Amino acid sequence: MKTSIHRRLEQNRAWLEERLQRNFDVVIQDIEHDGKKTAFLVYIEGMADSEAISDHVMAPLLRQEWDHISASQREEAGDFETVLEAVFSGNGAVFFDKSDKAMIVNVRGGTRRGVEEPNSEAVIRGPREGFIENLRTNTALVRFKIKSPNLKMESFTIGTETHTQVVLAYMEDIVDPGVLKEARERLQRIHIDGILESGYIEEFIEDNPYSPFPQFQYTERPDTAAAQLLEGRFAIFVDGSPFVLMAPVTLMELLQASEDYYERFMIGSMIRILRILFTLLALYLPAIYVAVMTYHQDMIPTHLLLSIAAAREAIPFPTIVEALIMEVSFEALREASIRLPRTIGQAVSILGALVVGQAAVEAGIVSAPIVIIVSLTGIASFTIPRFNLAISLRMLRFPMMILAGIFGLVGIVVGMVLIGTHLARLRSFGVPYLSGLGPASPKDQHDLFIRAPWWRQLTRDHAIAHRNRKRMSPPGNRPPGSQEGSP
Amino acid sequence: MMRACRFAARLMLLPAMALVVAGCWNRTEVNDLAIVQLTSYDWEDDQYRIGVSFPLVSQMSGTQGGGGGTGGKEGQNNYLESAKAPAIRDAINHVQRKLSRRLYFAHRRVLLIGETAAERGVKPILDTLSRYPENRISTYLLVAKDSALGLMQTPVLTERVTAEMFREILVNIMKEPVTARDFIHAILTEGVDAYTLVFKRTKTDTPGKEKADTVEIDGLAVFRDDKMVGILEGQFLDGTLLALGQLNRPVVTAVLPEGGGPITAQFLEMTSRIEPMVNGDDIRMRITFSGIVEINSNETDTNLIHYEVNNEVTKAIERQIQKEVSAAVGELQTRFKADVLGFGSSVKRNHPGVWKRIGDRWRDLYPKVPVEYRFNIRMEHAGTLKNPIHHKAGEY
Repeated sequence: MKTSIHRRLEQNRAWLEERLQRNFDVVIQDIEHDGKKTAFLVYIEGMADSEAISDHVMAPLLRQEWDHISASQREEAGDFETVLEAVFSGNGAVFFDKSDKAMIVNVRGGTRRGVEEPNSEAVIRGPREGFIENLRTNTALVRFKIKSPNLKMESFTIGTETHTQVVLAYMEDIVDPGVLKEARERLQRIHIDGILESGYIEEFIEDNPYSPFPQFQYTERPDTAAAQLLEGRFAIFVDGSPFVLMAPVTLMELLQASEDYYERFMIGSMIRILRILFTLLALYLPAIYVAVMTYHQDMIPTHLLLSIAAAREAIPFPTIVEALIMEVSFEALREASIRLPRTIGQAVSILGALVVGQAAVEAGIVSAPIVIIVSLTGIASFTIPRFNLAISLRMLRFPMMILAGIFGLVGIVVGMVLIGTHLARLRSFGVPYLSGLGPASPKDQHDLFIRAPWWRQLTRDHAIAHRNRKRMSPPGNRPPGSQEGSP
Repeated sequence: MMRACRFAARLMLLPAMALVVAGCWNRTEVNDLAIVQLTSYDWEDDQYRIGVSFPLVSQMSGTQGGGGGTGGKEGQNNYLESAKAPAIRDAINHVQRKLSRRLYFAHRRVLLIGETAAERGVKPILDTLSRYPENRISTYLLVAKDSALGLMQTPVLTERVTAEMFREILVNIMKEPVTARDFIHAILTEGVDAYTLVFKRTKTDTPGKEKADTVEIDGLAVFRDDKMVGILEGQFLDGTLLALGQLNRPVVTAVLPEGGGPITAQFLEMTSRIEPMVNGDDIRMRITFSGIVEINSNETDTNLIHYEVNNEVTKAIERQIQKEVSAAVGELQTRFKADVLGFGSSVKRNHPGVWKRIGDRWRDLYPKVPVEYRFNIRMEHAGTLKNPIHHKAGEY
């Protein structure tokens, strides 16, 4: 299938011109010497660094000093397909007269967004740099953190048209080889014309595509990615996406934020417990409200019931309808404000707060308690650090509410059992989704509900890094106060 | 794809089920409930008169809108309805027929039983109460002086709901106010007789101001089996509650032997233990009071800082308690012959063999059982003042 390069320069040029016709961004630059064409250079305007081309490629070529082409990587290619792929990745290709090899020079450049603070995962304490769309920058950002030859990065090219470069990164001495082999195979099985975001890859290689729960974690933060690599997970970088995928993932892992590890352990643990509590609220609160208000009024403290009853007195809708209306409008409000530019987004939230919140309550269309419940649920879902988990819980809230509206607390219990069994069955690259809880592992408790101080976290997560669990050796990590001579 | 379809089909079943089960399912919105707070049971003309009271939530303060409610004065937040029938449940049904909302008893705070109904026996009331799970037996059970319905109609100004008035007074005074559960338990236990508090309607007592209605504790209703045999009033009430260890931080006012003004002491904590001392067929009871006390007021000329004086004061307090309690116990033993303090059951628990012999005769033995008192009271501190405030410095 491959078209090999001809020894005659003219013929090569003609082939390329035909293949690349009507491509205004392709530049074919002839090098003439003594009135004779001796070589030509192909590159894509905008993707290649024009300064590198003129200084390090064109200048030596014009001086006929072939060996002085000083681009950082030089490769030889014998066929046009390799050349084209390289050129479309931003490289330059030099064809010489009387040579059936083309020289591929790395002059990649072009303008890309600079490294900025990640938008989707802000922290108070922690590094401020985030991944960008450039794969090389992203891999380098991680390499800056893990300066070890054990950090391996395997490259794949996926997408018959986009030829997107995908990098599978892992710590060779920690990762489970079985998981790695599976990941490699799943990546190789992907056949699609284009990969434009890491989400494409995620859907192709996740274990259970019909599960509402995410089986990958994604991050915009190099420190998070590095931490996950050190835990024995693998990471998938996709060129053109600032999000790096990480697996295997567990439910508890998705409830952890990078800052848990950066703040002192007591604060980290407290915040984590708070977050777990609010995660449960985000899923169950409206359902419990509906169930209790329509079936189990006896469960509410009397004074609270009287207050709620007073607020609900003139409401025309049953509680379940009221709750559904408010939840749906809240979701719509949230969706609307995400898509809009930030300036208009504020207007939307004002509209939402005023119109839906205040006016609806004052007009007696919805009751104040349901607005409180919906707001609390909304806040609760924002405490979940991973957007993909938050959104799946938000989605599951609706069936829970309907179950609660039909069957009361019995319905909620049924829903809990269904979700629970599903979670217990779910696996991410062979690792049980509830690892740590079920199968319960006492050794992992130091980083589950609480975040133990670093000097107590001697082992890595057992479910994931079962090949190499030792994180540190105890002697050098005496707990504070036990050190001799401490003041 | 198939799996997704099947899953979707199953999901679609859920709303379908809603259509099937709707109507026969017990979904109730709170707007359709009458949240009963208080019920009264009276016996008149050989029939039960049942009264129910529930708050009109739309007129309760703290909510907006509502419009027409007069609210505020005269306790118009509460809706009151009553009906008469030979059977309690029938009477409730008669009330229900006149209401647009379902009577909901799960939040009932207080049961008021009229004096005549209590004297006739409360078994029918307790039976209907405990048969239906919506009725909570953790409801406080009270006896009303005269008519329970009349007491229930007392307009209260300090609480939004009438029932709350009774409940708060009870909780303030007693450690564990008598619930229907305690009451049933006392009736069913051998060697204990049931008791509860009696409330009556009264007027506020501020000279020069218009008198308003309110409620107050009238005494202690003493039962034998399920029938009320009488009401212990005033000082006897305190004595009984002291012996039961039920008073919340009791206040005792004592006078020192050498005279002078009264000294008032408040217990920070106070418990009582009732134990039998059995010697053959000779049964004596011993009530031990333990507690920590602090002085609230001292109208004598005594400086309380001295150890010996403390001892004197403690002794005086003990004497006062013994006086009150023994008076009350005497009333219970001789006038009512009702074992409210549970002497019998303490014998049964500690000496089951003895109880087997005497259990049948307990009613006859009880009035003659001698009672002795022991004290284990410590004065924690004499207040923040050293000398009585009317002393000049250096005078002592």
